[in-house]
Amino acid sequence: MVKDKLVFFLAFISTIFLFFPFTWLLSVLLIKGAPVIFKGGLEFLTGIPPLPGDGLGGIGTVLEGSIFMAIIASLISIPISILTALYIVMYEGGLFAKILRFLVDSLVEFPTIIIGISVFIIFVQNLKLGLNGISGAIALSIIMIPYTTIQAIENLRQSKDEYLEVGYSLGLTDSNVIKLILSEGREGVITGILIGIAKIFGETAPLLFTTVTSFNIFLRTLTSPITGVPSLIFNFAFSPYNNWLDVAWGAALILALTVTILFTLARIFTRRKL
Amino acid sequence: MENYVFEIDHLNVWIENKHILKDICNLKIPKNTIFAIMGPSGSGKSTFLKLLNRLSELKKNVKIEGEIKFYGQDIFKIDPIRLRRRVGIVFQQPNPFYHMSIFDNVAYALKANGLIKNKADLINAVTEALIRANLYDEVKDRLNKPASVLSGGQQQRLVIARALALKPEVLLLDEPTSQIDVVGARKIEELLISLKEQITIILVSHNPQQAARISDYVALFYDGRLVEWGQSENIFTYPKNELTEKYVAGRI
Amino acid sequence: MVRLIDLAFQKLELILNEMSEEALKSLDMLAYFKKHHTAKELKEISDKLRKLKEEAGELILEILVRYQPMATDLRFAKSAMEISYDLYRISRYSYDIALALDEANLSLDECIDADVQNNIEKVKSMLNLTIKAMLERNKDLAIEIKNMDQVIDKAYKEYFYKALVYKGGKCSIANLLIMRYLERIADHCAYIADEILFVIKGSK
Repeated sequence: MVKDKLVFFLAFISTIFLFFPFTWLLSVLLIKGAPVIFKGGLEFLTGIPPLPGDGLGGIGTVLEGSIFMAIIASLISIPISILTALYIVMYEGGLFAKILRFLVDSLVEFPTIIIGISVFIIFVQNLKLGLNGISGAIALSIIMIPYTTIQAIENLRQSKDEYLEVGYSLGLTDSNVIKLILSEGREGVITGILIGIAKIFGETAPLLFTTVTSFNIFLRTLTSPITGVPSLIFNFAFSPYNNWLDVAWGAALILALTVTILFTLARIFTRRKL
Repeated sequence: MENYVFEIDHLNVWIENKHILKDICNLKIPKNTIFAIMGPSGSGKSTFLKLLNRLSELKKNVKIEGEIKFYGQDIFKIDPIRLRRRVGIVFQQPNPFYHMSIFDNVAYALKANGLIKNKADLINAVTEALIRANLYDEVKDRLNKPASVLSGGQQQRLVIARALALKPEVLLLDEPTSQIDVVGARKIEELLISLKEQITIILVSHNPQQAARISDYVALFYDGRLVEWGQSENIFTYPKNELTEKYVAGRI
Repeated sequence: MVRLIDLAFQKLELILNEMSEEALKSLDMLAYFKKHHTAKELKEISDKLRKLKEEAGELILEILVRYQPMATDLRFAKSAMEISYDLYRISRYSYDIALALDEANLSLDECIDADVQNNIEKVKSMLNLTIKAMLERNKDLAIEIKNMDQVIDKAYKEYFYKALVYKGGKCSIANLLIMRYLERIADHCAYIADEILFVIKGSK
């Protein structure tokens, strides 16, 4: 009885400890960020960041940049992740599959700042891609690929265990069996993609090396010098200007909300899986 | 020769250097019967079953020696894809395609294999398969609902319908009722009896009572060996082999 | 480990053992209590065996329902049904013998001749052997019993033809009847032997 109470007490304490930073974070963000967004209204989402000491403006340019980079990074990552996962799952036990799996596992814990530097040296400098959305997206996709791949491996493996024999037993050809496995495992794969996007949406370090630090340019061509929301927050938050600090808080709240929504979507997809 | 669907002789199978099936000799599976394969777990009965439509070859490091004839033809000389369309299989765990509707579950193989392209023909084929699987009346009003709305027993009959859609000549079943409740299991047993007029059924079961209820012939596998096979009424009342006696009487 | 069905079979064997003892007793009574043939007592034994036979039948049905026996178990369940009937019939024939003598107002030692006396002893030892074979599931004994049955059959036939020509009045009729009933008892012993062989080998 005493033990039960003790366990309950410890659980309660640890819940508080976990809950406290989360609620504290959220309330600070809401208190500081929400008034900014309400004040700025829709323009906060579409406008250009202000000059120092000027009005509030908006984060339209960097939001557009973040979305653009997320799309490009997804376009690069999704096919690579799915194909890699498929290869690892279908040739499980093979040497090359083992090497791939090892690479994916290592990459997932790789410091993102090093990925940023590498992309800067290879793509920005050597390949003369320049500081722009494409370079940013390349760096982000390298971060995203291992996340989505690992998630895809788990789900495709389950789907393979369940449907490989079924597929062949129905007289399907190899390619149709693979289609079947992909189709029955797709929800988990989508979950992985959403988590991957959420992950790269908040990444700052790689953007510092691959994109510009000017925030007032909208996308005109694919290589327009743009950047994303995190790098705006990074720069504005350390500025002495009150209006820039306000913008940073508003942008931080928007970023937090976006990531939370993406995670929630991912959860919904996971739950739908039977 | 016409009367036997499968004839197996001197069959040895190794999986990853483990001798799984040991010299299965002179086993013949008569046409239009229910042939039950009994044996404790690990006796090689599932491996044997999956050999008959060459599914076991999907595993790595499988070595097969000996002879399996399908209507007199060496199965290892038949295109596995064609063989599998003629020899369907149903597994222990009901595994319909949960993302697809009831209709699509049955239609899937026909569409994916490009066997039927016309919509009306497809509807006819699906309806026929569902009727043959004794499921049509229970699902006819909700063909577009996902397969997950069905009970375990219904899902298993859906899986049988999915296999029947290809009009196979043989249906292999690997403990098809072990995950199903009593009523659902009874319906599947009745279904199998009704199906044997048209096709040959080979059933793996570790329930001797079930095998005794529905099978015409029965074989006992033990430790990778074929202990005995013959007509069910003989095996269950007067087994010749002591091991069979022990197994069916529950002394093992 | 003891199987559940074995516990039920133990119960069934207890019933069969009791029936065997009673059947044997009924024959004994004929042999030893010749002077005052005891039709009443024999009727009681016969009635008791009939009840035990019903009891065995119910137990066997229960075994079939509960355990769905197979192979030897199935054969034993089926045979136990037959054997219980055979044992009941044996006691019933003993009673019939006593009844026949009673009706004719005869006692056994008044008329019994050597052939009949001899046959009573033979049938008694045959039943003894039968019960032994049953307990031991002994194939050789069962075959021996079947051979003994043929001897008894032959003896009865010879006695029958002898009786046809010999006019001996009441006693000869009684003796013939007794011989007839003994022949039937021997038959039932042989049936039991058949069942024993069926349990052991799966064929008769």
